[in-house]
Amino acid sequence: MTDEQDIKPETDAEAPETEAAEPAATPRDSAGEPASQNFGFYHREGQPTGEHLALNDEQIAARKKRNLAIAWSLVAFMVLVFGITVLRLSQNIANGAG
Amino acid sequence: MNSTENASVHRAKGEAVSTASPRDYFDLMKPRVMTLVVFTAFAGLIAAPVDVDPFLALISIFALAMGAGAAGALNMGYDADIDATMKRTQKRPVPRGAVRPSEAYGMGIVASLLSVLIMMLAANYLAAGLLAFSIFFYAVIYTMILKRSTPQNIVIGGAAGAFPPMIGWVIATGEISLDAVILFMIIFLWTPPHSWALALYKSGDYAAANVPMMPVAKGPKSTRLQILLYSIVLVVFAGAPVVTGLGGIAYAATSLGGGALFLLLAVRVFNSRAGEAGSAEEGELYAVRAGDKAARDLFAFSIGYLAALFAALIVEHAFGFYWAFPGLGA
Repeated sequence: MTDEQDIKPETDAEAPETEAAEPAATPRDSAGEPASQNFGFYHREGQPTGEHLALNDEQIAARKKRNLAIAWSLVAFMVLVFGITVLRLSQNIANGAG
Repeated sequence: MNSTENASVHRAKGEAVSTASPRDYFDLMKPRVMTLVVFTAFAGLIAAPVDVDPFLALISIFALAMGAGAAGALNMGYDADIDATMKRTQKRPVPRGAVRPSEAYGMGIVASLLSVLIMMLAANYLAAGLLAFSIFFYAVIYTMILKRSTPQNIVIGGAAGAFPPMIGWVIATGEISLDAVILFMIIFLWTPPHSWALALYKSGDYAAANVPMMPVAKGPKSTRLQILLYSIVLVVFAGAPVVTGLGGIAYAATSLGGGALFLLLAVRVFNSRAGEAGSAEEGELYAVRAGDKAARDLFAFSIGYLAALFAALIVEHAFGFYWAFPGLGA
């Protein structure tokens, strides 16, 4: 599931079939161990590669849904903390604290 | 030459870019487990002898559910290899390839921190501390250590699932009392017969995944005996709330009737040959071979039994149907 395995550069489009069919090397972390043993994290994750991806419609739609879910979760969290604060303050005032 | 011209533009193929939906991430949190957590925690909160602001109580229960879900996500991230092997769990988001283990860890850690923070703000430090400990216990002690190393995994690990009613109680009262410990112990004692009944008719699945569940490690005969012994202890102990006054007549009747049926089913399992034919062919939770039917029945009933016990407490304390057992309790 790494970029190296699943993304073929357009510049390779004319490469011979035999090269494309070669198995991809096992992704390894900076210590040389298979990345799959590293709790599923890859050492390249999050690092810029200078490459750009053109997403298809399904991937764009899925990303939009995920972004919306995260946005609504953040809004809900803010509302929650605000509500708790107001309630706690009003309780303390009612009890004559502080 | 600008950077765009320099960069090679790639067409995203296959699984290189995620098409996971929010539903996949929600499924990481084990919604069915969360339901039971919310229900038992609510029972503990309602049964506690202290009134609590309903809005804060609701938020606290939400935080508890979120914490349970976070622990579930961490579990799914770590157990991806086991889940991919077992028929029952192959369709979970990580083994399906919809979500990567690293994403499950990330989501689990963030949700854990937020849930404990919300619990701290809405309830109290003790409830937040218990929630943090229960997440740690489930994700690290049970999932990463016990599950793959000992047949007593779910006996000790069952403590993680027993915390919710105690946390519910602490949300209301701010302290751990005898009644809170009793509620904890009921779920703690319920977990072995419940889990082993499932493991009996799914033992082939666990064996294939190298998980040393009791039927795999000690054999079905020993497991059936232990199910019976734990069931006896559970049914007797489930009467404890009546003695302390936490449960009234309605609870006593539920405990007595449900307990009798629980014991009957446990005896049937003991007398059966459940677990000796391997797993059912199908991956469904309730799919079963003919010889394993007794184990499947006990597994299914055990869920209803626990739900009935806690429902009785809710009915008694939330709807005014509490009548103390004559000569006992409050």
